Amino acid sequence: MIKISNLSKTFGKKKVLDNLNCNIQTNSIYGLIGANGAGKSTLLRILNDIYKKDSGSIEIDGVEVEDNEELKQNLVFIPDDLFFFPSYTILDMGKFYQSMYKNFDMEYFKQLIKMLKLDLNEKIQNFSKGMKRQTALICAIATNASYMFFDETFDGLDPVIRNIMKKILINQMEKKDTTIIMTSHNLRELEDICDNLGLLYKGGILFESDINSLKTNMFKIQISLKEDFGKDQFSELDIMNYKKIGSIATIIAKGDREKAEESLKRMNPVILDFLPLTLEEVFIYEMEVLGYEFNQVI
Amino acid sequence: MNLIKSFNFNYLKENIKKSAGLIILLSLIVPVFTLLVVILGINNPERVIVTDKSPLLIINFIGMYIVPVLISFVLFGYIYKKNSVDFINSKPINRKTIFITNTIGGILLITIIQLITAIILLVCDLILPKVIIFPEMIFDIFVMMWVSYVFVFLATNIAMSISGTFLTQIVLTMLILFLVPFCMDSFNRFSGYSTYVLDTQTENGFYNRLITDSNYTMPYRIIHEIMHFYNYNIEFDWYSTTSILKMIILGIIYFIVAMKLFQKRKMENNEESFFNEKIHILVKALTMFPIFILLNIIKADKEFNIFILALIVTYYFVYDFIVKRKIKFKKSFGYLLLTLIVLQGICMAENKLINFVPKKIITSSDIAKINLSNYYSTMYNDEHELIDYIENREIIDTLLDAVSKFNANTYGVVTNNETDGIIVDEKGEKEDTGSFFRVNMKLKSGKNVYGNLIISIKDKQKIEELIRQDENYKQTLKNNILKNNKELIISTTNILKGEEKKQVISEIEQVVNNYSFDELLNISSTDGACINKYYYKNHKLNIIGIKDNITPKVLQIVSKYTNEECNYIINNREQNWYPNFSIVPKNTGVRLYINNVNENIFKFIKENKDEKFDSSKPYYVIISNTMGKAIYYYTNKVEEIDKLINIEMERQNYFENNLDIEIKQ
Repeated sequence: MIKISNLSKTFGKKKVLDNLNCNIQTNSIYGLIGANGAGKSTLLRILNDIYKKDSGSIEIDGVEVEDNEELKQNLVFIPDDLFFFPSYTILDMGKFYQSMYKNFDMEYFKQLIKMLKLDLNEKIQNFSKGMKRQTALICAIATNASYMFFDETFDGLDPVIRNIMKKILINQMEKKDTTIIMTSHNLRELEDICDNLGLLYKGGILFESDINSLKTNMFKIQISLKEDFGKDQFSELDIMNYKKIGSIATIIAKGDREKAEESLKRMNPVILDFLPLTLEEVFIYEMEVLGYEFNQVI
Repeated sequence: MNLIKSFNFNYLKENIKKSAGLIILLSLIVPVFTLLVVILGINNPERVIVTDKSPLLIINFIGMYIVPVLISFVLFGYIYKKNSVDFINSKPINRKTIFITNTIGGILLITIIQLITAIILLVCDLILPKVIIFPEMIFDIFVMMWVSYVFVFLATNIAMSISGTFLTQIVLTMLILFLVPFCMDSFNRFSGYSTYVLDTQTENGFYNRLITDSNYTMPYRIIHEIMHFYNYNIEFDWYSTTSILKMIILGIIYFIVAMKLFQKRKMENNEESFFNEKIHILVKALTMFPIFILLNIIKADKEFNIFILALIVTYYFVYDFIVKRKIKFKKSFGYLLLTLIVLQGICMAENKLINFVPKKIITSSDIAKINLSNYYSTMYNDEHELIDYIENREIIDTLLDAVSKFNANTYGVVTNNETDGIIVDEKGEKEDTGSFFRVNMKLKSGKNVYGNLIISIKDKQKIEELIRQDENYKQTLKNNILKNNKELIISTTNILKGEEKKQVISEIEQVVNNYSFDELLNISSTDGACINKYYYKNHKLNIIGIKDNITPKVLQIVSKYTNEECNYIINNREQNWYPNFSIVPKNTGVRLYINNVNENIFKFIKENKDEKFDSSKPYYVIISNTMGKAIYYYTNKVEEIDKLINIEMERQNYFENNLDIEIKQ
């Protein structure tokens, strides 16, 4: 488990992280979203002991991260800006990771490279951006680290490879009890893989929740009654948003879906549809409740 | 033990592998160019070259300012770069391990560079038939350059740990290496102040100032020697134990400081001069000190003037532009004013500051031993100095008394040549003749001091007489002739080996043991067809010459080689060889220069190439200075040479008489 308490970091006069608190459960995929400059990359760098924190504490499995070589055997980080040693081949890079990480699985590494149809002996500097990203991710996965941190994880990957990568990551998580923390400024990218999501805004976690409950607890209803109706008639629902165009009202509500359905059916509606909400919509309404505009924070 | 624990071989291997090409280039550049210097510059097939340190050090000295700096950049540079900072710092290796591993790696690379250089020099010594490089000297070079390279490497590591751009890292490295010694050196230079003075003060406050050894760290020593070369005119030996110790101690401090800075470094500071703006301002201000001093040297002025001010202000703003650091003009201008005030304050306070520097007055009891040098006396070797230090208290005290007496009784000294001066009285009339001495003192504190002293000729003679009576010095003279028989070279052409070498050593031993002081002085000469004994002692290459005619057997061996060489040259270089001969009759020591008998002498040597020279019979030596070296030919055909001399004398008389007539006309 990762426990972050009152973490602060400033760059010159700019406060990038401000008393940030966050808990990330083991064996989960935690998505960190936020606009550019929200502090996502900085948080990952501090978690990986690249940057030194100004104050606060970070504990991974109950141990402080700073200058902890032993703990770092269980952490792997793939940054947004990829770096490979000049003139290294994939195999060279694999050997480098092998020399650094005790649990690096060279066989698995080669297997993944083969699966993604990359050439072990080709120089990485000749690769496209997507191929470099694949190489970096494979190197990280083969370390078998318990905690994997990916900054802008799928940047540059085409949809097919992106799905394969997601499957590999899920597989890794299931088999090795891995905890994955990934960042993106694109919600859709994280929607179908993350268990939990945290929204970073102005140096702090503005909103945090697990995706399942986010999606199941919030729903969209389209309803039309025989007589004219208003918002007041739906007082039994926890309405987050209400819009009525003509005789059809669109309601975004929170709470127990079955109870809501029961209550609405009693009103003998002409039309009653429960529609799925995208994660983005869920976030938009949650932000509205908190008094933020979604476009401002992402 | 901690260091070994923190060393990660795998990391070092990968770090070196990633820049393998550049590292190989850095490792080979010094050894390869040193080899070229030896082969092209030193290996002269016609004469034996016994190399001193200087020619072997040229490339190493240049490399000292480049190679360790680049090694530091190769090993550490990528850790701070924007696109690689995440990559390496996220790996399971903590900062202490990264630092220690890279530092040990750098030191290992430097060791390899210096080892390869040393091995190449050793191989040159073994393979090149006419080159002698003493292994002890190679070891000295190895130690001296290894320590110097590591020192520069460790200083660069500090700069790397603090700064974020290549330029500021270079600037900071230079400040660490040069700022303090340069300011101190320049301070002394400006003030003309000498910390060490001889206890010879007169009523008018005249002291004899002494110069101390420059025990700066090696990177600055070279700059110091260049700056002071014409002032001191002292033969400089690069090896300095004090300098090496200083670099070791400072190196350890640099290592610890750099490691602490590296551990605390803010990795977000990449590709910007310094994380903290104030450090940037401070570093810039520090760079102005040497610039200010240099400008003052050019202008020979300690005060600001418009020219210096304009240059400094321009530099101040251009610096930010070059290192790409943006500072608000208002703020920058404020700091500039502050810096100028500090600089001007230091300049104004300079005279007062001098008084805070304690003056060390050297008395006889501070002196452990002395060496003297004087051009005009048979007491001294070819470098015009005594062959070793003298510890005799009577001589030391007499010298100090003589200097004091001279200072007290002299109103003025008019020099008429390098060593002697005429002492004049109040009226400007000649009173006595003075003699210049260069004195080199080793103090009991371990310090070396040098100075030029003047004493009267009478006192000089008295001191030399005391030296003659000094049994220890006589023994030293004797030991020098008897011992140190590692390399015996006839003139500059042949290395004596095997039986002949043994024979020469045994001959010298037999006669020298019974020699008087004057005989010992008399046979020591590196001039002429002598046997030169080269040896390396006290980190210095020394040479002792022993005259060819010390015994007939020695002369026989010498003549064999020199006659062979002379014949070879005459038979092979006839077309372009125009020697000027001089003839030295046996035992006279006076050379007769007979330039116009070239053809006759030429013919004579050619015709007598099969002559078996016998050193026990009367003989002549024909000396020719050609092609930058002296060639000697020994012959027993005394009568024939006499005839040639007579012919020449007649010719010379004829020309002289005719010349007289012409002039009269």
